[in-house]
Amino acid sequence: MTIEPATADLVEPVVGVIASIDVDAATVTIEVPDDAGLAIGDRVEVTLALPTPDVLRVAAEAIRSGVGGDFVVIVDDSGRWVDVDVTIGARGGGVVELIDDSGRLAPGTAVVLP
Amino acid sequence: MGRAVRRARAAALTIVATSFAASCASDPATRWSRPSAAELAALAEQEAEGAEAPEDVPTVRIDVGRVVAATSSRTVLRGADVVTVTAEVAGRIERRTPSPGDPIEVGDPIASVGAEPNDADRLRLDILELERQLADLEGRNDDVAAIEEEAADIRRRVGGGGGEIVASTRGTFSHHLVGLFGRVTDGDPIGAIAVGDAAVAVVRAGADAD
Repeated sequence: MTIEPATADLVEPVVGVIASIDVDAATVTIEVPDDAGLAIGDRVEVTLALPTPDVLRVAAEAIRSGVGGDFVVIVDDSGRWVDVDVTIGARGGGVVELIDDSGRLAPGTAVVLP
Repeated sequence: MGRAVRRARAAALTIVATSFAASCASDPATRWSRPSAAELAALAEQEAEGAEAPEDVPTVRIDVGRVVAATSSRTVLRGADVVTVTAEVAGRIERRTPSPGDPIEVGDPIASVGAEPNDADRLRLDILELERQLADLEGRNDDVAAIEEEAADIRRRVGGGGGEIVASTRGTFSHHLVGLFGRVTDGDPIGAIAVGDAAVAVVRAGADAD
């Protein structure tokens, strides 16, 4: 998570610590380090980065959406199209976490782009 | 590209072309009509599940790694340790004096609250006005005077409300808790004064920065 001034008077981005999460209000409170050079009233841009552990992932552009939900299209061993329903987990950086209930997806599987 | 796919594509194109030519010949008004369901189905068949895949289809590979979900939003830093300022009267916030980051001394104005009749007073005044009109129509002049006096009492009481809310603590103004023209009642917190230099960022979850 980084905090940086939203004005032209930039200082280096600083890393803060999440102090609390209010689930009801859907807010996150982040402590600003004392030596950050930031003060009460300063406008800042806050980026919260939430990394997953190692997961099955694919480029977000490979995900298709249908009436039944999200799916990907792969080519099976006999060279035919196969639709595989997937559940999308985390998204970020142009990739998505694939939650595969079918067991048909594995690292290295080629997914057809739409 | 497999032969079956090429055959299917050629067949589909033939169907569409035939339909298009037929529609042109039969009715100029339907010249640009959309392909029929059967035609669309034939086209979709080319990429349907189980169809033979072309060899040069663009693909990406599934891999294993971390996904970093990021959300980004702008906010104004607040005080980590704050004392709230409460309204002492009911009404609407008409002016908010300090901005976040402003130094605050005891007695400094934080907000002005304009008096406003509450729902009960407003209803009471409406009823009295109807009673006054009825008494006037019926020629009950003594009642008219009494009703007007009662209404005036209510207005005086309401008009005596409102006022300026001042800081009772020295510090740095952190943030307002009620928007301009927001309605408050006695005891509502309306602002926060930081009693130290420590700052926090409070952000609302949900904005996707990806």
